[in-house]
Amino acid sequence: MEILSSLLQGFSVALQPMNLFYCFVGTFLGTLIGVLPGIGPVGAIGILLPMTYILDPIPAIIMLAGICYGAMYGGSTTSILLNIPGEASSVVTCFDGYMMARNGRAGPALGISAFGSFIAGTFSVIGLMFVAATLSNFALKFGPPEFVMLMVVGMTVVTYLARGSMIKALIITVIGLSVGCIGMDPVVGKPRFTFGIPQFTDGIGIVPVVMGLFGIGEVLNNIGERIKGEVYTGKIKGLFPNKEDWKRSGLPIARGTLLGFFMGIIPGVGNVVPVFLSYALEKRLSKHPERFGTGEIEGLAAAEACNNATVGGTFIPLLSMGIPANSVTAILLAALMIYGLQPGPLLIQTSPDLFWGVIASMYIGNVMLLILNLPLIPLWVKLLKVPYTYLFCFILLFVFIGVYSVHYDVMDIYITVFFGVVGYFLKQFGYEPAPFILALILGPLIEFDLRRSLVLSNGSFMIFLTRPLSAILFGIVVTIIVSSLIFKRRLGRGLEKEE
Amino acid sequence: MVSLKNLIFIFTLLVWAFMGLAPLQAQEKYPSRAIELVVPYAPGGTSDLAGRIFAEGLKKVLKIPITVINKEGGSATVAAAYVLNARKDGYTLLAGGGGWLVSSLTLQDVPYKEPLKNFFPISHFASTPICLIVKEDSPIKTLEDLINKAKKSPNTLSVGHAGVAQDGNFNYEIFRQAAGIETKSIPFKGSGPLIPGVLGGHVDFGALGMPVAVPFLNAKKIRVLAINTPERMKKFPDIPTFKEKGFNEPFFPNWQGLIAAAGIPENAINVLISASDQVLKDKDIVDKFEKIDFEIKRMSNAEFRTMLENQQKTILAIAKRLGIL
Repeated sequence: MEILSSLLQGFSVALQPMNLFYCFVGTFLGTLIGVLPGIGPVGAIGILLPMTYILDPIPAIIMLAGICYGAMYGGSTTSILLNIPGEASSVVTCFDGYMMARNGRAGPALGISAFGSFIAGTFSVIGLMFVAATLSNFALKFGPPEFVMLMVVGMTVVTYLARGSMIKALIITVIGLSVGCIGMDPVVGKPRFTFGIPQFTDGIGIVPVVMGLFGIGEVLNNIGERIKGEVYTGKIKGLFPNKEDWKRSGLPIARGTLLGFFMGIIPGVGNVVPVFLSYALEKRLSKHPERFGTGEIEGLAAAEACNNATVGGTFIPLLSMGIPANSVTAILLAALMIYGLQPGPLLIQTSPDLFWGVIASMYIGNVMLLILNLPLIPLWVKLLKVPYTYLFCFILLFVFIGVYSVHYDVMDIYITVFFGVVGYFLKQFGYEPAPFILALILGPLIEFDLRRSLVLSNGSFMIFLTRPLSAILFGIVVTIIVSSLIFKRRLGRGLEKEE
Repeated sequence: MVSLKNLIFIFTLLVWAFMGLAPLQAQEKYPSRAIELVVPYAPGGTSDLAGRIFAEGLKKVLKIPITVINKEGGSATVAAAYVLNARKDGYTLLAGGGGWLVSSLTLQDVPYKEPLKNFFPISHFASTPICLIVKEDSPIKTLEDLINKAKKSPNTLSVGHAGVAQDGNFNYEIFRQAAGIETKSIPFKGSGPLIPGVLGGHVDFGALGMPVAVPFLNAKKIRVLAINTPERMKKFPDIPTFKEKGFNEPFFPNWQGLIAAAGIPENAINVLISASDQVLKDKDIVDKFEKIDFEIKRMSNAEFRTMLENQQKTILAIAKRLGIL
């Protein structure tokens, strides 16, 4: 009951006309930023932060939080329509979302991701309210050994990303791991494979690689196939998800939400691993895993829900402990400091108005986003009718502006172009770019935590088995590998019989 | 007959022409247009906050816009190289700090050789101590406990820090060497992730900048064993210094300063030095720095340079010891 009265107090804060206005501004800007590839919530909040100094802290934080979750809504748009993921976590949205669009079902794809985002967003706000304090203490139990195991669980997803040849998927994974070695050695601090280029000291940026492999690669491929004329079939079947879409998406949305929410709470996990995991989970549970990647709505719904739920999850360590879980929440933390509020474990006591006001505004913001996004769907779908000859010029323009705006560095544009060409050849030779992205992100994380774990244990690998959480995760890895060996056979046999 | 369209065209051309002239006039009076202040870290860190507060003060004094841009990467050396390659007109400046100096001296691929010759340090604006923290319920209560425990069983205690080539790690090394103890060194990706590492008990203690530790200190989740400034902090008079505990070593706190590329016009340097001095007298700016646990320390330009030269010696010596160089 205490929570309810606090929440009511929160709503009385969030519903003040001024706060309502800034909530709208935040979600609106967030949607815009999400739609533009490259410029993500981190950059946008960084730019807007100085302008918010004139505001009171509460409306300012409400607005900045709105940008965070608003960007997640908008982020799916370009992935679905044009195969341009704005950031690494949207890569999964491309798999089935873009294929749905190519099959003439862009409307339902956009619709289900908007509704999925709404459901996940609302759920994670409720979760944030009830379990904030309890869970953030639990999340602290994740140290280097637990992270290693968690990331190894993430790596097993590669087997689910392979659509054609498993050998090709493994080859591309190893290349991804190798590229991930570029940059400063995380434990000794010496640069490796940087070729004297200072920008490489921090490793190859994920955003340029993602936009190159997917966005530019797709453009090059489409230009190559231009003889066919229109890329998209003229027929657009339905603007909104139908009954069957809903039936198929319900459970994936629920599972994606839960997975994203709980993994978002652990500082340092980020939103890439949960999204890839939720996709793999759906593929694993599906009766038609072979259809994933050809426009299966389950894969899209789970990924989108998971993505949004993660955002809610990351607010838990931020608001209840003052620990930023990723770079977006790190900026919000800084914002709190600038406004003179002491972020940290005491925030909920010293500024209850802020804590509950922001939570209430997130409920309202999610409703606003749904209302804002649904009418846009027919408009986005029309965009696909623009002849590709004109469209691709704008795609290139937006990709380059977006990539440049992340660090204001031309080097990022070179990297994008390079990986665009790589993406083109990968597709020509039948390789999937997704395992590359996953390996590029997870490789450095596994290395860093593996080496830290071994320093802690004086070189003994037993540390992964003697710590309970890490042992449980290790058990999960073994189960996944063993069961996929057994089940793949069975599933295959079953299919043969059916056919 | 001149149409309206042509008039607009001619007008636009004229505006452009004058805009093209602007940089020429700028050489006479500095500053006459916006100054770009490059923060070498991502938005949100304490260095970013400090840079932005200083920019706000500078804007008030010079009465021109100060554009803060974040150019993270290469442990601050990417931003430094950018400032070095910009036109040497005094309109592109670096918000540098201890981390920048450490990485400039220790990274192998830095595109400039001698940071204190390639750059002109203008002013020191604020600093904050590096501190050693433990979890509130840790059996280690004081710095003496830590030393005794580490001496009794070498290489069992683990220290977390924000990265190998970072000022937290370097200052800890100065202490470790002086105390004659051996510990396991666990790097984290910045001081943000270090806090959960200490709170979760994954490392026994941590070395990091004070501003990140303060909220957890106030909430009684951690204890600060010692800070590395010569004097105690005004805000936390109960926290001892390393110096009091008998470690009078060349520690360097986390400082923030205004750095220009060497070779910018003399008059620009003079304007910036006196403007910085005025900024640090602004009560509002001082308050803002203190709110994020930075303490203002005004120094003359010569004092600042001497401080940096001494730090350079210390850093190079430790880097050799750590095997980075």
